[in-house]
Amino acid sequence: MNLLFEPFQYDFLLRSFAAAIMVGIVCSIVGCYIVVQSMAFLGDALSHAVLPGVAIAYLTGGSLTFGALVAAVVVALGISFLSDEEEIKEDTAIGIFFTAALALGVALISTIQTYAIDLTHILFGNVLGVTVEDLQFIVGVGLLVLLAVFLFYRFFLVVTFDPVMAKTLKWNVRLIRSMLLVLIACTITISINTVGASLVTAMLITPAATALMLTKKLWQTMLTAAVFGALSGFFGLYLSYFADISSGASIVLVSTLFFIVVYLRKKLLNGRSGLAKRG
Amino acid sequence: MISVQRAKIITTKSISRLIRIASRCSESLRRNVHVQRKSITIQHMNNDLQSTPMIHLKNACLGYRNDRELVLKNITIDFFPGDEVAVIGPNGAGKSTLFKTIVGLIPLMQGEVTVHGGRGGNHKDCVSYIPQKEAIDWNYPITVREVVMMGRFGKLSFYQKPGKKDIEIVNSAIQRMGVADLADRKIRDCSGGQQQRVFLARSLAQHPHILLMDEPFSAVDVATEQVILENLRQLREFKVTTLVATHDLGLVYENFERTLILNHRIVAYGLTKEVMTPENLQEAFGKKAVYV
Repeated sequence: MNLLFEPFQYDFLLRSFAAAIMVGIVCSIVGCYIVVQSMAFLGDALSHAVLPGVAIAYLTGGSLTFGALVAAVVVALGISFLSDEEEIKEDTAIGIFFTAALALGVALISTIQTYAIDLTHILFGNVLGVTVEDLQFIVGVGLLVLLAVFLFYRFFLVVTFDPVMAKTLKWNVRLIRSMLLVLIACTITISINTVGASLVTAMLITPAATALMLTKKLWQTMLTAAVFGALSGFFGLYLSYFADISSGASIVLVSTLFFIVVYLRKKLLNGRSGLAKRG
Repeated sequence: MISVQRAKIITTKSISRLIRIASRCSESLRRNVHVQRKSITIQHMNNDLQSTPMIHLKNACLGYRNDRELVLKNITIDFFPGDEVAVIGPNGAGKSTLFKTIVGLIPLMQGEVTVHGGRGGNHKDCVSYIPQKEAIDWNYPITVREVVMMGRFGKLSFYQKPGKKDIEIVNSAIQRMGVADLADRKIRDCSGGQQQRVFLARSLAQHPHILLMDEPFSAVDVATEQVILENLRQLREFKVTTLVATHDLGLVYENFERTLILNHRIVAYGLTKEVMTPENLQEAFGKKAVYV
């Protein structure tokens, strides 16, 4: 029995749990906007676009997380600006900016000789290395993102559901969309410590997609997704401690498990009601 | 001919209608906080009574930036409060372009467009636009009631939550469109006709001065068609200017007072019975046009 509570004896592990749960919640809630807009590509793109920011921060000796944040926000605004042009669709704009940022990141990193270890941390996360400052940053930015989603709920709802209506109400649709992109960028930045840049898309998409199968309203989807996200963060980290596997991968796998269970349950229920109807 | 008809309508305008307009104006007065806005509204109240146009286009050229050709050239036309207009014409004639320009979704290329005295409308939500069905993402986690409530968002300030009055208005709009039993259903689980009803319910809840509907009758059943027409008639009572694009010429002939025939220009505009002549229809649709 004591063995099961073993992880909670260490301060650094408690910090990791707090970070994983917070990231799980924020990612899932913000991810709902990505899922309902079918913009999984955007999440993927933004998460890789942090690379040049990290590289520049590393070269100049600045904070890696801050560098990532700046890069993600710049790319988010760039995408928003470029997709406003009529000739360029949003996914094209994302493709252009994301690959350019990634290339710049790779170019900068190739000039550094001793980068290997830190690069792995960025790509795959290292939740066990979360410092007190890291946790403060994650919780602080995370709460700000949640506050913004709460305050602008109505505006994000209309702009993501029916942008034409938002325009006829004379709202600044471009500004609201840019804000949403910046929120996604912030979410990705606080996630790279825990799940890593390569897997953050999963945390944005999977819990939201799971919740979408169970709910009728956006705020219900968000709350349900948050529960799945938090549970994935907690059990994923817990599992990684005992199975001795990468924490980011473990968290993502647990969230995928939730998705599979809910999906199968839905399929089974639908099958049954379908049969009942036919009978 | 048009102006004679107009004059007739003005002279026969009943006192009760005047009172209704005045009370509508005072409602919009209360909404406006700034003194400057107030003076504009008063001016508009007077203008409304003199029946200045709700939508005014003068030598307007409409189209998209990338198109070499403009879709509609040198359009001059006025729509007045209470006008119920069917907009007909072949595909690509410029029906949707006209609507999008009025709403302000696409920029005006040349000329002048004024809506309720300003570009894109005098109030924040005085124009309601129901685009073609394809324009909306139907897979969104949102219920019928929530969609209709969006109609009230233009009247709420940033920190304001929908109040008792808003909920009442939403409920009555849902009732009027006959979708009350679907109110808590996900929009995705509604049929095409039901979705069309929901979107008209949202427009009703918005209390617009101008309503633009792009092909609301395509792919809906007869019952939905009748509910939509019935509610359009009621809107006319409230002096709402309604423009409806459609391909159903028979339905236009039976139900709409006025008709605008478009084909890259105004072929004809006026009373339906007068403009829907074989000559005009042939000119718009070509030789194979259906006779009404």
